[in-house]
Amino acid sequence: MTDDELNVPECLARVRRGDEDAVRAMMQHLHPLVMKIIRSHRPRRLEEEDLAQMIYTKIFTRVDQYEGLMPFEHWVSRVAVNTCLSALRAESIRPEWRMADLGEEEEAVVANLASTAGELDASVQAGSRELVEKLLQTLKPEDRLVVQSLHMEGRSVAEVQAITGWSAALVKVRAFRARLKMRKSLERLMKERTT
Amino acid sequence: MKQKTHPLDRLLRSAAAAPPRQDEAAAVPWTLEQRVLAALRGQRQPEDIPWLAPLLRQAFAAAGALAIVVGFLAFHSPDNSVTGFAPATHELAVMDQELTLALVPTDLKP
Repeated sequence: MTDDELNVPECLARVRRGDEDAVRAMMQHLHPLVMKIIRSHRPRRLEEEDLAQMIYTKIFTRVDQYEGLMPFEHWVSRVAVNTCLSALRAESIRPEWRMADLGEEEEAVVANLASTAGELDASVQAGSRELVEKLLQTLKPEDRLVVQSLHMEGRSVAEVQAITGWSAALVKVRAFRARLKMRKSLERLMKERTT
Repeated sequence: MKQKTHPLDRLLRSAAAAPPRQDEAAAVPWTLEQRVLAALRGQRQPEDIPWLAPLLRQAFAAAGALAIVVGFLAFHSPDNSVTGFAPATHELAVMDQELTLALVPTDLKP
């Protein structure tokens, strides 16, 4: 059975009966979604595969709790995001980056930001992403999730609400607070570069 | 709408436009699949045969009760013996008698 043809309700019923082939097919179906969430919200010290195992195990052991009120993928996103948040909360130390900690590409991005007021060149987009990921690591897990979802994945406030269960006001406050902290971190890096 | 020009806003826009990483939609690694299945088997095993645990408990209780009854009956049997042979006290009496006779002076022996 190819992934495109996967009949989710039927596969779910087989998963509930303990059919391992159905578990494999479901993992294959969910893998791009789960990995996207893991790569956005993974703690630095936890391997992707370890986190993926935690998420899949949680999904398949709690599959009976899924009542079908929302698409299965939304429910999976919620489980994955909550698992990542728990793992991030366990990582109590948040780094404070210095210029010396940045790679060549990230340094180039900082230099570019400091020297021009226009949009960054497409050639430095990968470096931008690396730098943003570093700045995100300085934030609280909840703030990090909001910035990642709103700004990197282009989700709406309503979508973030659906994933997290938070109110719109809370999402906006967290986004504002997180952006403020990232601004300060970035400005410090730019200042450090010029001195 | 006017775009925000703060360096952070420009950085976020640039980062969001970055192409996805090459292995983003890769297949599930075999090791991950096996780890998940093993974890599920480990959690599911006690529920697979739900009738076995009570059955074993009942069998264990019945065996214990039977052992107690057999022990009780054996202890209170008429000959006071589990095996049915003469009690050990009879053997000792015979031995004692032999010793007593051996100590008696030879001229007094019957």
